[in-house]
Amino acid sequence: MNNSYSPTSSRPFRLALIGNPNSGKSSVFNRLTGLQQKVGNFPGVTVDKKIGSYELPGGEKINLIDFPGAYSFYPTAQDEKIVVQTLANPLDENYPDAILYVADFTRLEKHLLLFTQIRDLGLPAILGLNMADMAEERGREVDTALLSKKIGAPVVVLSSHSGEGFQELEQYIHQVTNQKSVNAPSSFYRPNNTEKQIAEALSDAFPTNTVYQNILLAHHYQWLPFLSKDDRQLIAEVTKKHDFKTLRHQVQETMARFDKFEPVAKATIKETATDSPGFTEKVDRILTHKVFGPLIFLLLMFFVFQAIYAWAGYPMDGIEWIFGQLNEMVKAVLPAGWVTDLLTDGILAGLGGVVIFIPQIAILFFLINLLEEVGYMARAAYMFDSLMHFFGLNGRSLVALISSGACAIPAIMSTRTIANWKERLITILVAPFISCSARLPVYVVLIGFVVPAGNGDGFFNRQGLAFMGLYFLGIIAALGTALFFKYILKTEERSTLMLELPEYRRPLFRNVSLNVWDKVRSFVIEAGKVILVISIILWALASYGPAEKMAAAEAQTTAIATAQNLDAQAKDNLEASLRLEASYAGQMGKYIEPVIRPLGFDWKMGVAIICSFAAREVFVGTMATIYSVGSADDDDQTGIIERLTNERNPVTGERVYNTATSASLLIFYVFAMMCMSTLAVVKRETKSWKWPIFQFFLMTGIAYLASFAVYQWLA
Amino acid sequence: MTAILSSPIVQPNAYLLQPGEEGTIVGFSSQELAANLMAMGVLPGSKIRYIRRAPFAGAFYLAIDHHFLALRKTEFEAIVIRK
Repeated sequence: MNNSYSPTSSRPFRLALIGNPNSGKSSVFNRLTGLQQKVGNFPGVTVDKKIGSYELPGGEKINLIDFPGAYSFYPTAQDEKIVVQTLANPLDENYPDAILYVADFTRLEKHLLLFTQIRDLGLPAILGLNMADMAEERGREVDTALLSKKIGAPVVVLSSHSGEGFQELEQYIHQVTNQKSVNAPSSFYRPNNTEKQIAEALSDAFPTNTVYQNILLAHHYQWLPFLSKDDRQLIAEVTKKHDFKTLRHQVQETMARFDKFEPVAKATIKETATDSPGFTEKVDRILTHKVFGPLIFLLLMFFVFQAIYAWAGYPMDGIEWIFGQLNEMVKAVLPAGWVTDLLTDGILAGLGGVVIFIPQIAILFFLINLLEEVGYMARAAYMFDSLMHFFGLNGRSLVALISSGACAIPAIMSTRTIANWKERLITILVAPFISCSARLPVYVVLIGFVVPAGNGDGFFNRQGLAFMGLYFLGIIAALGTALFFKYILKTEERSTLMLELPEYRRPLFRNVSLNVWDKVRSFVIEAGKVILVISIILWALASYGPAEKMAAAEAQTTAIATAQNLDAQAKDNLEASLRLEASYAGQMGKYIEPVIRPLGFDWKMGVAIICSFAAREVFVGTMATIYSVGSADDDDQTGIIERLTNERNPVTGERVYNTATSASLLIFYVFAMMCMSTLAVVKRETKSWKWPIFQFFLMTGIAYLASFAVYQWLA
Repeated sequence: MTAILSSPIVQPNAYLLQPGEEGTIVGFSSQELAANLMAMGVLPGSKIRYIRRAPFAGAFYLAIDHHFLALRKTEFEAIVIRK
C-alpha cells in the first residue's frame, strides 16, 4: 500500500495519540512536543487536529497526531467520530503507522475498551498508563511485564507531572518506528459468524486491512465520509442480506471485550483497597452541594471577572506607555509626511489597540483553563444540567457558554461534544451573545463614561460591577433566545447526559500555559491581521476624500479662522476636524447617520460600527485612528479614553460621549453580531448558510432595538 | 448475551436507590443506552452507588465502582440493578 511507512520514505513516521476523554492524553502530548505543535483541522470538519513534531534522542523525526478523546469506535458525538473515520480507512491522510494509547492508570479496567478495538486494526501499539502519581497515592501497582505479555504491546507507566516513564516511552517509540516490536496483536474479540461473513463480502471492495475494519464499515457506512454513494449501496445490501443489527452487535461486541480484558486488568493490578471516601468525594460534598455548589460557582465566576479588572490594569498601563514611546520615537526619527502619519496614526494606533488587551485575554483564558484542568468544569456542567435543559441546552453547553466569555469560536467548536443535534444547534446560535474578549476593549473604554471609577460606598469596584452587569445581560439574552428556540425547533432525537466526573487533580502548569499561549497567539495573529488591514484602510479613508469637498473644507477653515481670529493651534484643530468630515470615511459615516441617529450615535461612531462588523475588536483601534487623525496636536500623548472624553460637539460644545450615548453604544455591542469569523465557523459547523444569516439578523436586530430603548430612556 | 436487556418491571431500576445506597448492575432496559453506558464503563456486574442529586431536580451523581459519573433521570432509570 502506498500509504504505508518505511524508514526510507520521505514522510515522517505518524504516531497517533489516542485515548478516552480525561485520560490525560493532552498532558502526554504537551510533555512530548512542548512548543513544537501545529493546530490544523481534520479534513471536512473543524475538529482541532494538533500535530506535534517530535525528535527522538536518535534524531529520528516523527509526527505525533493528537486525536480527540473517544470511549470506543461507536461514537456518540461529532469529535469522537474522527477517530473511527480515520482508523477505518487506511487511505486516510492521517492514518497512523503506529498508535500510542494513553489510559488513566487509576481507571485502567474501564479505559481499555478502545485499546482492544485498536488492536484489531493490526497496527503496532504502545500502551501508556498515565497518572502514575495518582495511582501511587492509592497504592495501585501494575505488573507491566505480565500486562504487556497479555495484550501483546509494550506497557509503560507515565506521570506527566514528574516525567516518570517518558525515557522508557521514547525507547518504545524508537522500536516502533524501526518496526522491530510489531508484536502479533492478541485479539480480545472473536467476530461471530454474521460479522465474519459480512467482513468477507466487503473485503475485496474496500482498502481495509483487517476483518474488524470491515465490521466497522458495516456499522458506520451511513455516515463515514470516505465512502461513495455506490459504496454505501453495496454495504447496505450486504448488511441487509445478513440481517445485521448494528445496535445488537455493538452491545455484544462491547460485552465480549469487557469480559475478556477486565480479568486481565484485574490480574495484573494490585491495589490496597480503601473503602473510605477519597479526596474527590469529600471535596464534592461541598463543591457539588445542592445549595453551596451553585453559590460557589457564582462566586468563582465573580472572582474571575474581578480578577480581570484588578490585575490587568498594570500591564495595560505598561503597554500603553510603550506604544506612546514608540509613537514619539517614530516621529522624532522620521521626517513629517504621509509615511510617518501612516506609521503612527494608522499602524501603531491600530496595533496598540490589539496588544493592549492581551493581559485581560490571558487572565481570562488562564482562569477558565485552570478550572478545566483541575476537573471543576465537569462539576459545573453536572450542577447546571437541568437548568440548561430547561432552556433547551445541555450541561455541556455551560462549558461552551463559559468559553464564549473568551471567544465564541472555540466555544462553538467545543459543542461537538454535545451528541444531541438540537441542543448543539441552540448552543451554537446563542453562544455569541455571551460577551467575548473582543467586547472587553469596547466595554473598558465606554464603561468609564457611564460609571464613575472607584469603590463608591461599597466594597467592590463599581466599574467591575458594571462590567459584570454587561456579562449578565449577554447571559440573559443567550438563555432567552435559547428558550425561544427550544419551542421553535423540533427533533426526534433523544437528549442524554453521560458525563464523566474526573478525579480532582493538580493542574499542570505546562498544559495551562501552553493553552493560554495558543489562544493569545491566535488572538493576536488572527485579530491583529484584520485590525492592521482595517486600520490602514481607515487611515487612508479618513485622510483622503473627494478633492472638491476637501478643498471646500480648507476654504471653510480659512474663512472661519479669519472671521473668528483663531490662533494657529485652534485653526489646525478646526481644519483637522473639517477635513475628517469631508473625507471618504466621514462620507460613509454620514451616509448611515440617519439610521443610527435614534440610537444616539454620530457619524464618527458610524464609521467605527461599520468597521466593527468585520470584528468588534476593531472598534477601539478605529476610534484611535479616527481621533488621532482628527487631532492636529502631534505631541498629544493622551490615550484613547482621554481623547474621547475631550471630544465635544463642535456646535453645542457638549460632551459627545455622554451617559446616554455611551450606554446605548455599550448595549449595542453586547447584543450585535459583529464577527465575521464566528459566522464562518457557524456556517462550517451547521453546514448551511441559513443559520449564520439568521443569527446575524436576529442578534443585530435585538441590538438595534435595545440600544434605541436605552438611548431614548436616558437622553 | 441478550439477557443483559431486562424489563424494569421485573427487576428494580437504579432510580429506586436512595442517596448513599449501593446496588449491583444486572442489565439495562434500553439497548441504545446500554451501548453508550457500557462504553463509559457502566457494566453489568459493576457496583453502582447513588451519591447525590444536582440542584433544580437535576442530574444524578453516581459512583460506578470507584469512578464518578453524572447521568440524567432517563439514563439512570435504564440501569437495572440488584440491591
